Amino acid sequence: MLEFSVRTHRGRVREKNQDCYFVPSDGPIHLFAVADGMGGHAAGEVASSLSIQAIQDQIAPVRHARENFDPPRLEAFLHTAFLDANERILQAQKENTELEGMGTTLTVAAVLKGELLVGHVGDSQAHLFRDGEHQQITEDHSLVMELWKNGEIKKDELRTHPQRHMLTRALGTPSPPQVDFYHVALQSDDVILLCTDGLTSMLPLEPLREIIYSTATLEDRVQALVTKANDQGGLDNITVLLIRVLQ
Amino acid sequence: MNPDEGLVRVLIGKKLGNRYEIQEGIGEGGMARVYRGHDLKLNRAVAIKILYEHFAHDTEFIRRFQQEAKAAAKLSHPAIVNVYDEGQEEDIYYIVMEYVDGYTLKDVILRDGRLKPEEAVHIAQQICDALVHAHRHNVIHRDIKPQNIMLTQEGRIKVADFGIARAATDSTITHGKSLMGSVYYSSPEQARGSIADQKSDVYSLGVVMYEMLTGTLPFFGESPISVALKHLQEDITPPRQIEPAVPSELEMIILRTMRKERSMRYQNAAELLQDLEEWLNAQNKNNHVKNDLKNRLLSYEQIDQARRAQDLQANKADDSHYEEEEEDEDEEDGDSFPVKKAILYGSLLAALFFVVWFGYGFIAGLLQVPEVTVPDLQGLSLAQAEEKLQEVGLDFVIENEVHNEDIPVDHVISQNPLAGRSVKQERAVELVISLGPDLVEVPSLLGRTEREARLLLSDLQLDIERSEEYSDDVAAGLVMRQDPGDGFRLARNETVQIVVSSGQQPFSLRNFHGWDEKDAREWLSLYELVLRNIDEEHSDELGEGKIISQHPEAGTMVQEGDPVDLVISLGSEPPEYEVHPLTIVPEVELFQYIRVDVDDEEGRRTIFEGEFKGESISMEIYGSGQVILMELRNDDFVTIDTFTYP
Repeated sequence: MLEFSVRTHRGRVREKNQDCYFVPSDGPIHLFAVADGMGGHAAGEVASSLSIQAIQDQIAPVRHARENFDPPRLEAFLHTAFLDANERILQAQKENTELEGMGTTLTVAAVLKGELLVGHVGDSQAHLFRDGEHQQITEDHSLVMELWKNGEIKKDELRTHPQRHMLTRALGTPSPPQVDFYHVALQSDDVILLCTDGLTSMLPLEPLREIIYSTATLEDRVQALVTKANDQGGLDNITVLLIRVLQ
Repeated sequence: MNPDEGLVRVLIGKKLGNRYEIQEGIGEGGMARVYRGHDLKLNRAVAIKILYEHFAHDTEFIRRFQQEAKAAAKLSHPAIVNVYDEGQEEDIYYIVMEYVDGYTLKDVILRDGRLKPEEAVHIAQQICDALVHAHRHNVIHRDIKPQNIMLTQEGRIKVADFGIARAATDSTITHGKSLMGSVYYSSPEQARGSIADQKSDVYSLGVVMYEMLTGTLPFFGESPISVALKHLQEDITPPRQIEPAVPSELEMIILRTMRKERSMRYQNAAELLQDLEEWLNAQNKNNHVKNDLKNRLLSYEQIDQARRAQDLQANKADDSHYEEEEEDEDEEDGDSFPVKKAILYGSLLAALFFVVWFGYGFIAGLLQVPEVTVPDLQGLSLAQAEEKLQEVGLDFVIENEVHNEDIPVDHVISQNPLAGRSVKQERAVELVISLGPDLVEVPSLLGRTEREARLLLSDLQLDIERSEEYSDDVAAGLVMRQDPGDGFRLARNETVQIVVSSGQQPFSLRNFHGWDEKDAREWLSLYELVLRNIDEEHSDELGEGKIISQHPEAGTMVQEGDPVDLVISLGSEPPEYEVHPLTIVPEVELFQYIRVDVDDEEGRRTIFEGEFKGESISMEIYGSGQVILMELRNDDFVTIDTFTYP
């Protein structure tokens, strides 16, 4: 059993909210997604919502799949969905010049049979909070992440570097995207955070952790995170999705 | 162009600022589309750059763009594409620039491959000149690359898009994400995200020079990030290792422009320009020396005719006196010979006066040309050889140029007179100069089988070095990459590296145990594995249609197209015990209500129930068991006989 809560906010600076998310209605496969669009004018929103739509369409026929629809099969299906999302965005660019150069991040979390499967492209993030500890599940596909991994910049520069918004992977690219997948065996009381960088670029880990491990309801925690990110500047759209494993 | 057609149609013929008429689309960049247009006021062709629609809504971007365009408009230099005007009409934001009729340097490199050193330096020198001018006005280009460098029909160089890269990068800081683009020409500091300065432009120009001279880029990679990291961390392959014909002086210049540490580079474009010019001068001087030689040989005949009385050495002595005048006569050739002759006679006359003036004794001195020892020039570069000869006062003439496997291009293969000989000063030493190895063109091997590639290369006497890599797009066994690329020229027995695809990256085969056959088939087709054999077996553990086992085993690394065998359950195995057919006629009265049960390895079951009419009752006993005969008494069956069989 899962409990979840989600909220997206324009932030305090951007004219539009280019983030997009998806949460499940029912079925044995619980699927969640966040996407952070990029591209001027309306393009970013189009890209992020196209990607969410692709995920939704791909998974719809198999949401009520039989018992033996297991994580590896789900991974294959999700992978197809990512490719499809990329294709849709490319197609839309071809049909409308105003949308040229748009793209999106996409991070999908699926829970099936006690296992969490995360598919990921871009710099939105999935985190796991368990027993007071914290672990970032996804690795950002960003220039700064590569620079840091290669010892070119220090860790604290990840959040301050002038080119921290430069992505190395995104959906909407002419070549099919490379999708990272992560598997996590879930335990009860685990909390999973899916978010766009509007949250993580504003909030350091400590206050974030404090809120997530608070005793407030899940809704209140999500709201607190959004409020806090806005208090810290709200420079970007903020999307926060918390999932808690009940049993 | 298809997706743009709608827009192009709308804009063609449109007048901007009541002055610039848009005529036709001529190109596209990262931020804008470029049109040829006409300036109705000044009646001249212009290029009009129109920002993509999505930028036109971005006020912050427009502000920076305008700022950079204004800075660029301040620049005025023959090697810089002039920015004339900028403006906005409705939501069309545009920049009006000098119209350049020509190709980009990228077009030229793509078409011709590497350029001759003199050509390349000539181009680099002009780019550098443009940079010196811009840097003096505090404009950093930030995006020097062959795509931004135009070659005009007249052979001039024009550098475009000064400062525009900055508007783009700065804008993303406030305006959110962007996907990393190509960084083949970016300096390490730009790759790291530091602020670009003059030296960053110098670095990028170094990369352009590298590409012009070798026909290849210093750093390649599968993604922009891998290229960026190479700029930061990897040493470049010296140009001469790729293309031995690159003069060593140019290699030194390039290596200096491309130092990772800014402080180790040329400190500004002017420093680089100086070295480039010096190198060009040295080349011209060689030509000059060659021309001088040619001219002199020609003039000798005339002089001979004019001064039969004089001997050859005296003529030579005179040369030194009219050499100065010759400096101005570079353009002279056979056609303008009469002029030349007049000047030569003039000099001659002057020389004679000179002789008279200083008296006979001096002439005698001139005639006594000292003897010197010929230095060993073999293996030296032409420049070094010239220097050595100058030291002892000897001249040289290039007698022949031939291919040579061992001596690099423009280096001396042999000389005449030989080293150690004594000759009179001013004598010309004949040199045979290497053209470098006899080169063959590398063929395109991409998409060929490894065997074909080997045959092609061995025909050309090229060596092959192979490695394997996984590939998503190239079928196993075919060449997916080659280095150098096709069209590149190599000497015999040099090596071409090929990377042969070993197909898709293997992945771990999952465990199908317990799966439905249908699901396994679906999975296999999803991963493009081939289901080869299906065997069927009985299984007590798994029901009919479930998968019992597989080959290869779960966890084996497999690739797309690999065969997989499955063993599928037929359900439980039928019993192994013997079946004994048995027929009995119970010894009971007719019309008695009876029941016959069998209790054997298959369990207990009823064979007959009803009124006995004297018939025989048939059954099968599985293994061994009992036959139980019962009769109905007071609504209950009571056993009246049992027997064990067999």
